[in-house]
Amino acid sequence: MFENILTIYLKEFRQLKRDRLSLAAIILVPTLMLLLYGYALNFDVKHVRLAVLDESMTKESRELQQKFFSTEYFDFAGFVPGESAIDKFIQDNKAKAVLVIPRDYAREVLLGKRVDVQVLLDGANSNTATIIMGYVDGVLQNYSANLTARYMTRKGFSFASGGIDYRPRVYYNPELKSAKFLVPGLIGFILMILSIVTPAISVVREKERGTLEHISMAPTTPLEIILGKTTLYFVLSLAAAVLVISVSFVLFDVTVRGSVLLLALTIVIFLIGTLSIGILISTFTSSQQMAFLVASLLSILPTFILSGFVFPISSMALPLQIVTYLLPGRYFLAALRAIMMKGSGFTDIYDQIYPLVIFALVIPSIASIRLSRKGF
Amino acid sequence: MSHAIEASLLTKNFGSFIAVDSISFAVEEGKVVGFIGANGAGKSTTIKMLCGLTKPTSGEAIVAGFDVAKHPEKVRENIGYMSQKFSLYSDLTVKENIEFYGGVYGLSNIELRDRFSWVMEVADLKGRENLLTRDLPLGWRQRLALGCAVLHRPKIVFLDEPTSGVDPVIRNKFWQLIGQLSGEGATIIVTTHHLEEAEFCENIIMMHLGKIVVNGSPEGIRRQFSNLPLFEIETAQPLNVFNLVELEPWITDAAIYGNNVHVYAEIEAPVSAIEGILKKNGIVDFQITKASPTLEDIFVKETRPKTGVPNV
Repeated sequence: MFENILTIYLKEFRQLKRDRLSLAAIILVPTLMLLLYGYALNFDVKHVRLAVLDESMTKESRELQQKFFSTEYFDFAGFVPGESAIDKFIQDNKAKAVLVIPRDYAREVLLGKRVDVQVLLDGANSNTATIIMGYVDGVLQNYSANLTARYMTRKGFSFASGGIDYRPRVYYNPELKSAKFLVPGLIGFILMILSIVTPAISVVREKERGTLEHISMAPTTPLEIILGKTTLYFVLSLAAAVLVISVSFVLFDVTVRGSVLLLALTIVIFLIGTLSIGILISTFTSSQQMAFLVASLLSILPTFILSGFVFPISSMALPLQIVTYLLPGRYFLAALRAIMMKGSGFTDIYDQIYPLVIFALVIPSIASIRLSRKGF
Repeated sequence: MSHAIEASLLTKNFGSFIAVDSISFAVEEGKVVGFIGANGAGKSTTIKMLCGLTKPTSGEAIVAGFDVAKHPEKVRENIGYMSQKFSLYSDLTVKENIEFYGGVYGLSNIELRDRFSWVMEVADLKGRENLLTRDLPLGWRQRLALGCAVLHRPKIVFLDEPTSGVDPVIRNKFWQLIGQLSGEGATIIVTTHHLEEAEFCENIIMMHLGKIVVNGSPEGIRRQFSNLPLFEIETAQPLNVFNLVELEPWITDAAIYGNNVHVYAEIEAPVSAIEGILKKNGIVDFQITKASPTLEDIFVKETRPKTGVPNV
């Protein structure tokens, strides 16, 4: 039994070693994806180009501008010469937003009156625009309260701290960096591809070439063939996970807060299920193209869209939310994020682990029943 | 003498298509048996059922003393199988392929070392151990594939169209290797559609449309069919002769072989009948003799539709 598995494993390893292209893909794809997702897929909106139309041109109006540009969220994009030029600024993409300070701004402020300040936004990307609006709101609310306090004090009122002082503190990812949120998702994504697509193709390739027919003539059982093959992809998947975690530590400062052992255990349970999905696919398909297509449809797309990798599950339409309960990726990503970012222990993520255990029991059973009944 | 293979009423249907139609036969131990037939005659399907690669729709097969349906694993221990697709991994070296097959057949290290040098010897591959299989010429690859299929010294070796696509010189070398295996006591079952290969076999099973049409030794079959009304017309104008005789309704088949025309004359007093037509049409320079049928003649005759009109 063990010798047979080792024979298959060794053969698979030798073939992969010679297949430079696949080998390069297995190492480069995770690294490349990490770089792309880490740097390109960035939801953080910072350094928004803000232009200013300052009709007041006073000490007060400059102080207001200062409030915006002293944060890292806004960069000064120039003065707009006049009201008619505002459209052109946004149209030419010189600025994402324009702050308009009216002529009588300073006078009204000093009189303690209510002043209208206008901000015009480029709404072509609704997501970014919403975030910018939030920033603008924050800056203005803060400054407005500040002005009121100053006015009251000047008028002789002692301004005791009434109202609410808002002091947020963000746990787990204090700088709210997208990379920290994306890395666990990315590990899931890469493991899905490696553990579903590659074994499916590896088995179907042998079907196409006719070599599988010859191995099944030998006294080696289908189970031994499967174990020999999957062991290699299991090892590769684990190596890819280590690679992604190491690179993201170097580049994005992502650390594993929780137990590494728990993390490894979660990954192993997940891989047992996903490798079996790959094998199951190989029993249904007879060409490499078909296997690739089915495996991609079942792994890459749902993980990317429906597992909470990028799009939060809670904001999906209800039928889709129900579908996500059937995807191992959903639980895996949640567990990974909890372990890596929050440092959660086993009892905290029990709800995510047990569905993964169910997958790891059910799918291999289906695959082996099918194999013993129909062969490959 | 005991039987290496016994098949009774073996049938395989693919949907409504009957690939193998209740065939029964037995193969004696140590024989070289050729399954001859056109593509789609059912040869490969029969082999696959005997190896346990395909489940028969009905009927049973005893291979190496075991029922294929009940003890496929016992059967597998005793057989070797090689198909036209070969079993080799083109991205592994010669040595790695042998090691791999030795491994899946459960050979011990000592056995493997012994068989390794044997394969190197018979496949003429010494000094090429570390070449990738895809870089080997077809003839070597074919012998290596056979070597890999018999690493575990099987009692019965199944070769499914092993010589398709290779030239006659390589084919003869391959048959020498088959002869060597047979000399070591193995029973060999080989399928082919090259009739000249039938002469290398001790027994021939001709298949047509899923049925066995002829079964016997080459000499036995020739003897069995020696009274076929087959005549050879030797002439300087074979084409003219062919065109003339072909028109006669009692000439059920005709073919040109060089300066000779072979005809089946199903009529009383055939020689004088043929002479009659030729002379009537001004051909005088010819000679008619009774011909003994070749295996090809017999195969062509037996696979022609029985009720059909002569070839027109």
